[in-house]
Amino acid sequence: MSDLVIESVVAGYGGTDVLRGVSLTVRQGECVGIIGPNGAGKSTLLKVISGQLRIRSGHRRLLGKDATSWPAYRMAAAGVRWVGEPRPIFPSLTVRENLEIGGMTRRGVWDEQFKRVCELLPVLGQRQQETAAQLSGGQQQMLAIGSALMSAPSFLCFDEPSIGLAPSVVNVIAELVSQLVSEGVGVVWAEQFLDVVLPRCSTVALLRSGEVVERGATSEFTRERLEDAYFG
Amino acid sequence: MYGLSERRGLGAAVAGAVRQSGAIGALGIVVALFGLLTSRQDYLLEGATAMTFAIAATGLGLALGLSGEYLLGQIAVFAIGAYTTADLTANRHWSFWPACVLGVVAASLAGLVISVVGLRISRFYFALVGFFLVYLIPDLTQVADSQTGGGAGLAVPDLPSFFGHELRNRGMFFLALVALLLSLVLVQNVRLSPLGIQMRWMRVAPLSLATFGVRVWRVRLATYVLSSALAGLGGAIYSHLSGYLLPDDFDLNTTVLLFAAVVVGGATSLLGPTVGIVLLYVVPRLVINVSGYSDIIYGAVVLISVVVFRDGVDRFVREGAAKAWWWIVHRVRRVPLRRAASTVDERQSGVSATASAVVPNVDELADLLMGLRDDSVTRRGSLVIRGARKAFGGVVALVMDPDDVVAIEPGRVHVLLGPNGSGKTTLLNALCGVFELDSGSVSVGGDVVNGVSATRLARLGVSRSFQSPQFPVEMSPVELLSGSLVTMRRLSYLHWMSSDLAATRARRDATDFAARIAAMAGLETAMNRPCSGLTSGQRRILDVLLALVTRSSIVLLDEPAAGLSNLERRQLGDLIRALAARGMGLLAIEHDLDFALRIADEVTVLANGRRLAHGRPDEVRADPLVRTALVGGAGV
Repeated sequence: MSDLVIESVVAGYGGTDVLRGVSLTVRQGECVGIIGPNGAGKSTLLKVISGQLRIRSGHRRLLGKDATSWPAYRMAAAGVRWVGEPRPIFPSLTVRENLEIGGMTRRGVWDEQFKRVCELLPVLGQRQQETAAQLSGGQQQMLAIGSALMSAPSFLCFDEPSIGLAPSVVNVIAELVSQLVSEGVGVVWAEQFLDVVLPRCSTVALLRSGEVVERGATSEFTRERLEDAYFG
Repeated sequence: MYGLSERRGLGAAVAGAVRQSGAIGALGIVVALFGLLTSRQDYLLEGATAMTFAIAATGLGLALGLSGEYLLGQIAVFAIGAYTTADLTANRHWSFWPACVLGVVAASLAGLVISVVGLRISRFYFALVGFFLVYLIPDLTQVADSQTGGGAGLAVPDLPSFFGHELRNRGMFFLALVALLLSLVLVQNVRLSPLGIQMRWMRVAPLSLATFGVRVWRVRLATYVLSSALAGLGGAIYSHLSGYLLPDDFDLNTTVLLFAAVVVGGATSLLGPTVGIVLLYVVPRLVINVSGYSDIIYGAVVLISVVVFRDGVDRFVREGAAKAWWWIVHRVRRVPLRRAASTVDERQSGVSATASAVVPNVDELADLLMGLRDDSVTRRGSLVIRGARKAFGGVVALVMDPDDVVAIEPGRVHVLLGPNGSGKTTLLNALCGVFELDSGSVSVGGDVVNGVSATRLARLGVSRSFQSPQFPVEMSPVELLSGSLVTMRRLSYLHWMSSDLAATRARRDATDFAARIAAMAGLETAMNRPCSGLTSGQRRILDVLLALVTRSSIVLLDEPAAGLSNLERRQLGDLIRALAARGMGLLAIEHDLDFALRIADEVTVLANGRRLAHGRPDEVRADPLVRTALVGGAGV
């Protein structure tokens, strides 16, 4: 019951279906890696999971409830947060205001989460009075992640969070994901880089041409098998 | 040109021009048939009036839809065209034709004057200025009452004559039609010309435009003048329609009509503004004629049109067609999902096909790109920044020592490494003239270029890519790339405006070339579809290509490999090396240490705005400070 499930989902833009019947289950306390080449539908899948793209056919269920037609704000309020491009931040607001907005759905946890986010991503605490536009590209990415964490989400969708981040920060985020997962957060992490995502995930789904072509526990996937599948 | 020997015949060029003008021609035939068949004089008069508005709206559409400029004073310019023409024929007894030409000239001059304001204030204030200009019209006509007749109006008794024939209602109808068709053809040619593509860039990313070496203010000026000239043409013809000109003809209602017609019809499409005039002016008037509840029905028609076509008629039609197609495929034909998907796929040539399936010949691509440059490229010398310091407000972004130098030399690849917020992008911005340094110097080939604009630096041979690339998303990668290519052709505007054989051929060559390099760079499946559908990796590749499709000898790349797959990364690395081997100087910002060290001749590591380390890749790799700064001591 503690799952986020999508079933045989078809979704796309205009006259094109990008996803052609994708099913995926994310449990709380589990990290699912979505991997696949550019254009495979990873971003589209994450938009479907987080409610930003209408489902044309198929279903979405959150914690046992039918959430197929829920819009993005309702998914977010229910604890499903998304970080990707374009970065979900407000450039004209300060870092602190951005974080406050991020925590709006869960006001009760503000102090605790703010402290935690500043510990994990110290630069946000240091620069909290500056506007988000003044941050560098990588710092803006950190802010987007911090803002999502402010709501103490139950599910997190990460669409290539490593883009533009220095390796040291990518490591911090990877650690963070492991920690969140151990605390019972469900994470869906889309990446092109097997090296970044594989060690952190219990389950991997390989997407190609809008379909899940391989899926299983990470341990079942040898590197060779993945690369074969990847390059088809 | 571009190393392509292929030449195409006159027939193909003409066929292309005909295809482009198909919609305009169809419109012309329908309206002309109406004009020939109707016997009602009031229809002819209203039709001609509508067409003069459509001419002005087409000009406004060019400004609003392409350039994103809020030229809402359009009706004032329309009035200038009208009054100039009317004054010359009624008071000075000129013939209509030279008076009309002078009306257009006067309106264009007004556009020039407006641009002086427009270049200085930002868009919404400028829109307000336009609105208030409309309020001034009655007062201005009062001031010049000997020319305009003031508030009482100006009688325009003489009808234009055409080879001895007086143009009465039907004649004026056809005059307006010819003017409208010519305006549409002109705007169509502008849209396809380098200017049109620059206008689109100006709307979304003026900074990108500057870094292509285009003077943004000139594009804005051209927008104002062209748009005003069309308003003037509409006004000139309008002045001779009813035989009487009143200041009330040019009130806020007409301003709103033009603006609404452009928005409802679709500002970005060529025929949108004309369709908008039909919906918001012609249709309501037809309804009024058949019923007694004129005002209510007029209001209802306008409201419904605005709501139904809120994203523009063109988008309504396009998206409606796409949705209808989806329904036909999935619901009506009951095609199984898999096959349905592949049908869509064939039609759209595949969102799915992977970029990595293409293995380009990197050397060939590098040769093509270098072929755009002449031999002087390698002799231009290095781009050097020395002792750079820069603060934004209270935040210090760069504090390099006075002797610290970052040099991008011809034939070498310089990689910039550093943690997030260490000042890499700031340094790159300073190098290409986005802002001036607080202290320190930038030089090209030994000449100091402190404070020189991005446009000027681009012309000195420095181009760049962006960390978060922005494009006019309605255009395809091939259109954007060929837009850059045709800009490099020094073809005069006379060619582009008339879209003659030379222009058509230049465009065709550029499109072929653009398609070729886009395909080689792995964009084959996406290259002819709007950029809005590109994945982040494809956007990145396109942005890098746009920086390379220039005559620049020095190219600065801001995180070119972000979002690329391992294979694409490897190919990008090979391309960068191949370009350097052919004499280009490159700077790349990178986070991936192994990738960076593989492509670099020289590495600079920044931390907190300072230069932490500098040297050959192996030296930098061995530096324990660097490892700590980049990897955070965790080890990779």
